[in-house]
Amino acid sequence: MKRPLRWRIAELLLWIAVAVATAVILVLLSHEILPANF
Amino acid sequence: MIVLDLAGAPRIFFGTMSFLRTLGKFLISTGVGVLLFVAWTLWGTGLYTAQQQDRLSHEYARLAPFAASAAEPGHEETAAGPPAGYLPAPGEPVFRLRIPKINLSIMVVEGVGEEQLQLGPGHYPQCRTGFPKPLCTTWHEVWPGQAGRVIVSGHRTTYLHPFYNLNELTPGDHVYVDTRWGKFTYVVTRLEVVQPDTKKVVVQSGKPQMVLTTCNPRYSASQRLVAFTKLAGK
Repeated sequence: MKRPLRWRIAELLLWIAVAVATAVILVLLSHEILPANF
Repeated sequence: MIVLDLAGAPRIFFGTMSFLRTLGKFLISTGVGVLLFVAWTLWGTGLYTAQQQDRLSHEYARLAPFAASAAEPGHEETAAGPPAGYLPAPGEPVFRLRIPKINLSIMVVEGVGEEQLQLGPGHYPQCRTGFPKPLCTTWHEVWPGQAGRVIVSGHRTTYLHPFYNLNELTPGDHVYVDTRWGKFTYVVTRLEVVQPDTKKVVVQSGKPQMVLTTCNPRYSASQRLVAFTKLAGK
């Protein structure tokens, strides 16, 4: 069953939000996960 | 006898497919997130440093040069440094470092803490207010032109990676230092890869020299690359 375009755009935005949230979490944790001053 | 009831099979199959499709999309999204993080680490941090370098350059240009003073007694082969009592605050621009061989011209700031190295390469300070141990020395601060070892640390991978190509220096290459008390030329004597906990770098010397340190290899902090230089002239 093909989903409506609006639904698919909403889903794409959701996954973009997940990607951005992942990046932001990693940036916030970078002091813990990256060696200092490299 | 085993009886297979296949009536619910299509529903289970499509349910599993739907779950796997969603999981796949989730993994792709988080993967893109990790790539964004890597891009930010390698290049995004450089934007911050570039902006700060701009600010530091303007700030430094407004500072008045120090009056010329005589060479230190016993060290006539070297020029004098800044006036006694010159103790810049953490992150303050202290001199400009130029290494034409690796196309580098950058403001050096006071201090080698995480915050200071995000602004640019840092000059190792003596332990005092604002500079807690172990990122400071117990002896008097040594400045370019003075007898002793000037130590400058910089990033290799992040925050504009000023020392990215430090490994390309060879003995005889020139390192220029522009300060408020004069311009100095150092000559590279050797490069060495050492362990991070080595005691060979942050030591004092009676000779006018400068060492540039950074992480080694690129994209790692497992070792340190050290370029040793000696003062060649004013």
